[in-house]
Amino acid sequence: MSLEFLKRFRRSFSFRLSIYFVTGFLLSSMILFGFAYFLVSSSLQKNDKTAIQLKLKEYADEYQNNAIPGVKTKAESETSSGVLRPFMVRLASPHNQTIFMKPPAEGVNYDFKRLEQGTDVDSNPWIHLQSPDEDDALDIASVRLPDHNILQIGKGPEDREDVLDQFQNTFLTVIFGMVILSVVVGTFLARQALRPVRGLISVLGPIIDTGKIKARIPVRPTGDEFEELTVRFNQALEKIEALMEGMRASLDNAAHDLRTPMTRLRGVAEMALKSEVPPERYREALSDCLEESDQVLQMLNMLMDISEVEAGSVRLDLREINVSALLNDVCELYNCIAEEKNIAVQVICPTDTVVPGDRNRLLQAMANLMDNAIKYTPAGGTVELSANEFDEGIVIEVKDSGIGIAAEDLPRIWDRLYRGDKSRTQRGLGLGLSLVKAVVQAHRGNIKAFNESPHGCRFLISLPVGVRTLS
Amino acid sequence: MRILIVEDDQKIGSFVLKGLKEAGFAVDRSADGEDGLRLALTGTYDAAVIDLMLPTRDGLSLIGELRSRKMKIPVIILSAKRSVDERVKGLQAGGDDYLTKPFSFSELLARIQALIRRASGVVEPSSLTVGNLSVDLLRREIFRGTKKIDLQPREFALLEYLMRNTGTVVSKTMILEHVWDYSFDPQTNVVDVLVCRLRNKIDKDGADKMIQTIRGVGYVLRVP
Repeated sequence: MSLEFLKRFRRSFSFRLSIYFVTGFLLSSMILFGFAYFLVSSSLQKNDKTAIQLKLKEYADEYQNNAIPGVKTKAESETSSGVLRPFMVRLASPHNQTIFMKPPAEGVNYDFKRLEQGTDVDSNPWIHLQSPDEDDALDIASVRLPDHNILQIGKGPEDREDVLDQFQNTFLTVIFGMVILSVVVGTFLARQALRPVRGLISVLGPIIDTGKIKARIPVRPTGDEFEELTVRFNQALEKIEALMEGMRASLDNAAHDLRTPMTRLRGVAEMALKSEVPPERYREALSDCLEESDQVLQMLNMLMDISEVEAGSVRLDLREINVSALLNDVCELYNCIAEEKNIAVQVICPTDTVVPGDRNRLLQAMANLMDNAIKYTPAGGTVELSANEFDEGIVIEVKDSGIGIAAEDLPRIWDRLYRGDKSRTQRGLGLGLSLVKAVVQAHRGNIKAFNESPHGCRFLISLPVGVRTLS
Repeated sequence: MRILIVEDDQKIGSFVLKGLKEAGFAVDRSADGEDGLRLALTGTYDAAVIDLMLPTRDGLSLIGELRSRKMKIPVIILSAKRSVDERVKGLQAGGDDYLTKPFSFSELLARIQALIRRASGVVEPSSLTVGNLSVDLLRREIFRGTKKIDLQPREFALLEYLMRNTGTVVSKTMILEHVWDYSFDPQTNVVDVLVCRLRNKIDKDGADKMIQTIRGVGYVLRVP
């Protein structure tokens, strides 16, 4: 269990985030330390050189006043007082033969004989004398005294190494504390930052497992990207929920509306089987059955058409459609019916208007609108089909002088299987307008319905000219 | 006339078989694709009715195989898929006509007869005569007995279509396809209205009714 947890933790994003954080912190501290170390060490070296030169001047003055015994006495007294501890003092003849020598106090064995080999003290006042094991080095300054003897003062690195060691130790102690602190803080920050993501996961998990889509992620009003993500995610969930509700509702409706003709079908067949009736009645019953089954089929086809168009599972067969020809075709299809009902149908459209679209689907949509217009317009009325071209596309208008749409029905006419009270007496399935809307939307268009005063209604369809590039 | 049915559904197969036999055809039925292909390749059939979803070899590949062997037998495809894409696919594979399930048997019969007629290469007549109704297709003149009848273009097209299928019931879908050239059902009663108007012009004045409605199926023109 705890192993599994550790494994998961190591893979988790917050773990990686804290590792990055600590690594970054360590790296930058190292660079900072390196830089500081270099500065301190070079400044200490400079101090040492100044100290050497001061000492050199002191001893040169002493030599001037009291010659070799003075230098010896001064060196002895300073050695015993400890002032000369890290220093080397050497007095040499003009030919660099050692006259007096006081080595530094530390137990490093320098090869002082080498000092006698170098003779060019005048051209090179600084000598760098390394110990045989190359761990330590003496910086030595030389000066030629007025009587051509040579005075040399040197100093080892011990003092400044002490300081640098201390500096290093302090730094390491501090950095250790900081690393621990940064691990703690980094982990905390990473976990804190990823809290919304964990919230997302904890909500999403059960939804996928159980399909219960009601859950929402609590939104913390921080105003950052995570809040936006949570809000967007909740919106997506809401949309999915609405879609699922819609599908469930239309499936329920479809089942209900299929039940009615199925019941009639079954009833007719059963009654015909039960009773002894003359053969003509059987024929009658069978014809009824055929008609009812046709209605079931028609409804199924229509529902399939709508969902196909809505889901976009069937590609639109896009071509240049002449709108005027389209409207005239629809008008021609309904010519006879309109004449029978004594309704005047008028088409107003510029002849050269063209829009990209699927001819069959558009025809189907227009036929449905036309069918409604004629169905709900009383004898002697008018139906007008018109189209106008604009920059963005075309607007097709279907206007009638019929009974109009009841205000309470207006928002619901696009729903599948919805039928207003007035339309129930008419033949129809309540699917026509859903199909029209689906077709128009598949063309990236828009459709709106209005009531006209004093009577009738008007449908406005706008189709964009740019649909070709969209699909 | 001999017809081959390749259909795996027992009930559909047998009602089509029975119906076609009653209509005077000799009929053979096969329930799977390979067997159907073997029968079709014997070359003894005047037309074939082929379902798309078949065991051992699907309908489209059966038709493709027939066509690749230069068999010109007219084929009607039966399918449960009704989208335009599927129809186009079927016709491209070499089918001559496409009928969606569920279908009316009368429609199947009418389509088979039309296919056979087309395949047999009968010379297009310049006039049609049924009973005392005669139509001059070139001059577009119609006479019932001695009385001249005036028709609008759609009415004329409908009458011509009914007369070419004399005695055969044609469905509303077939009328929509042939008279308006629409491949979808506009869910309206346009066909009924047009038939009604034609009937008023042809069958009025107490003459015997030639255009008859077969409820739930369609319309038929017969000598009364």
